[in-house]
Amino acid sequence: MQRQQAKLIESDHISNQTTNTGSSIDCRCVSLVFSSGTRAVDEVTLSVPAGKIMSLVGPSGCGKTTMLRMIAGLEKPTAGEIQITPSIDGAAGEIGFVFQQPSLLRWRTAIENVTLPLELMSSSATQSQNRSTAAQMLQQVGLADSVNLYPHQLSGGMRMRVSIARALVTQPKVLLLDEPFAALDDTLREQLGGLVLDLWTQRPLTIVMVTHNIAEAVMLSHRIAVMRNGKLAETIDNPMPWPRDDSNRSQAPFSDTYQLVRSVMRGDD
Amino acid sequence: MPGNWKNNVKWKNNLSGGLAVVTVALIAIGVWQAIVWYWGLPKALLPTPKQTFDSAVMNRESLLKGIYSTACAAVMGLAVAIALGSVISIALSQSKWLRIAIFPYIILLQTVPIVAVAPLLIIWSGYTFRSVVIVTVIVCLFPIVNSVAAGLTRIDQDMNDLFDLYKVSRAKRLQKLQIPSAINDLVIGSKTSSGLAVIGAIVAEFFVGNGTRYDGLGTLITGWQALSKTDALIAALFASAALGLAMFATVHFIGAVVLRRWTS
Repeated sequence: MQRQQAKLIESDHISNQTTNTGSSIDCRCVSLVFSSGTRAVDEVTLSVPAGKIMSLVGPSGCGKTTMLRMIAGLEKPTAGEIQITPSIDGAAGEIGFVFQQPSLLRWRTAIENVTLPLELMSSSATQSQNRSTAAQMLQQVGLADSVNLYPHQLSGGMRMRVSIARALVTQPKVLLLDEPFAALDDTLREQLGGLVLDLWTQRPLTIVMVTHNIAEAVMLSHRIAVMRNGKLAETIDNPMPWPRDDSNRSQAPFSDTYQLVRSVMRGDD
Repeated sequence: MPGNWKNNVKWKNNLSGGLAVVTVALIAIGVWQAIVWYWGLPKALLPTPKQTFDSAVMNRESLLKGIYSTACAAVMGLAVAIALGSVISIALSQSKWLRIAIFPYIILLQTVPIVAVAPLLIIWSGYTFRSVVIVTVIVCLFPIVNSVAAGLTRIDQDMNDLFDLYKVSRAKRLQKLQIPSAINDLVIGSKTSSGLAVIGAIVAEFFVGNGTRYDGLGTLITGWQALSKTDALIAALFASAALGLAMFATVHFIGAVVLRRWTS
């Protein structure tokens, strides 16, 4: 499967990849000015090819989370346009979102937290069908033995796995992650990054991830968009080959891309 | 083994906590007895613990009846306040304008002294059990509305975003997110009100009991005060405190059972 993905990267043509590889995302001259007058995002134009992973990186307050929230439809741009193709047409469940904190409902078990989006969407599926779908999802994130535990009985990493399972249970075409591993230690961060890649290889999915961590962005992404002061500083296509593992970190494409992203983030000429 | 050890430690902690409470009570009784002896106080001013106990035994029928009546009014008042308070809180949570318009009056309900309101209510509603319950409801309402309304509106931003993402209706958001989030606040508000319920009922009984056959603790207290039966008054005081404690412990226990699966 990873070989197939690697081939996909080699033939990276935005217009040719549509329904079977997630959705493509096109943002054209997108701006958001808050009522206080703060210009959080300023004329950002970027695109994510269908079925690819893009990281949004940049210093704190650069507008990357606001950009992600606009893609999710949680904020409306004051100017510009965001197009997701094929159109999700306002349908619930087509976008999965993973927050910085796991944000689980404490009165629900792991599996009940994962069934929540299915219940909220009021589909025709029965409760047992929803549970079965959620159980499969929890199995995929490695929590088959913890389905009936409450959030307070789970570790930080396990809670984040539940949160990822919840975001993917509706089979979305787009997965948005807002610094999902920022509160975790390095080992967990790498494990969960690997999990996201595994899940991506198993389904047609386009991923946009906000992160502070340049190494994480380089390891996981096809494309890295660097933002500074609300503007898009540069979009960098990642030349690293697939599949990726820890051995890639010692190779030139990783270190070259890492240095490039870092210098753009700093604003070096 | 670790589980057993943990249970053992918990049991020992409970035992030493209980022993500490009993020790403080015994010291307090000792000090009380010493004060009476040292100053040679007459029974009408301050009876000894033994005289108070004897009076409680002698008046046990009246006291038990009083506890029963007051408990009925307090429990019913608290139950109505919980139901009414929850409904008001849900209504307030649905509209910012309603909160702005109504909340000051709910605060007013709390700030107006209940001893000033009780006589009026009794004139309107009669020297009845119903009046005692109404006064109790008024006393209990504010902590519940204050706590539950806050719980219903103080929702984590991420959770609100999640529900927005799935385009959830207002009713479903209330059912799946806001009400379960506020259960803990309802328990906290109810605990505060459980002690107030007994106070509210007794205050109302001070007024209702005048010249009627009502037999709550408040009625007993006004009657025994008129007869300067200090020993019986102190016995009634302990009965009131015990009732308040029992109400609090019951609400605490129910709350702990409801919330036990959610918290570590």
